[in-house]
Amino acid sequence: MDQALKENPITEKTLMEFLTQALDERNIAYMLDKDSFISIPTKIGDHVLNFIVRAVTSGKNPYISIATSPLIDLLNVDDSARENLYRLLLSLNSYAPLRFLLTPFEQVIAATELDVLSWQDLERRFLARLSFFFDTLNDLLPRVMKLIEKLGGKEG
Amino acid sequence: MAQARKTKKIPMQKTIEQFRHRDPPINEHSLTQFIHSFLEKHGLKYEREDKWFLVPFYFEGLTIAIVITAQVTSYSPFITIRTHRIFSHQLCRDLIGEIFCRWLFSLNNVIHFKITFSEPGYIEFITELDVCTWESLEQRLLSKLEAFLETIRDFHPEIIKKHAELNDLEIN
Repeated sequence: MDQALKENPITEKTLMEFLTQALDERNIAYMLDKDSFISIPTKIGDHVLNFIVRAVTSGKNPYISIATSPLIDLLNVDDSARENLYRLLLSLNSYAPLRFLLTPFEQVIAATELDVLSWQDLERRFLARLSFFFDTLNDLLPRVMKLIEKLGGKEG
Repeated sequence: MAQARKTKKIPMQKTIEQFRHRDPPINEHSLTQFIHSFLEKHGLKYEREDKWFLVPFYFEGLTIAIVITAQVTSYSPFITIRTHRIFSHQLCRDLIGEIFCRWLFSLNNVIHFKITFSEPGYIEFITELDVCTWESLEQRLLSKLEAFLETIRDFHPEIIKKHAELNDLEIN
């Protein structure tokens, strides 16, 4: 990792440079959307999805957000199955480090955030979080899909 | 006959500063000690049960207990902060179940915070802090705890209000 980069103040621009450099050094394939977010293509079971990585510095404390592309489209889930689905997702939210949440477009995604108070150990923390997020999702997503299948809906 | 008083030598609690300068390896034991030191330094009352620290907070006539624990995974150690039994699953019963569950689920859009159904049947607020280094950990934990408590302060009355509204609808 470029040491000069770590001497810079933490801004959206420097954080994005830091993140792309960390991914480049490990040969992790990604797409960069106009410098505003990084999209990492991945696959969990039969599910092809993207991890969307953003640097957020607008609030009180800067952070890195990692979220999936939509996992479930609620419009494809039977009304009668939704309560059980919400209950399952709420119970799976007890697993670190991810949480399932609802987008304004009636889609379920998974997300996690990494607070950034300094550059200290950030590369290790980011890569550990990325692996942890992937592996936890890899464990939990089949349980969600199985429930949807059992209740008669189809995944989004 | 006067008996000599036996004194038990109690190892001195590590201070936050010692963690910063001595850098003990990060494991469940050292992280638990760190949490202990943090609570002592900031004058927070707590009850300790093995690896758990139960910390009561008071706001607007309400007492909410927070559980702080150290957790070690193969990826990184964590400090987990969660509420302790504030709402029962029973709130989501009967006809209001789906609407209330959906509404609770929608609250997960707030960053650094999540709502979960815990095993013993409670609706809990939870957040985690990854720990790869002792550097800035005190500041990070303080900042996380403050943000968590602020969120609970906002959401706790909202949950009670929403539940009452839905119950009224169900009755009518």
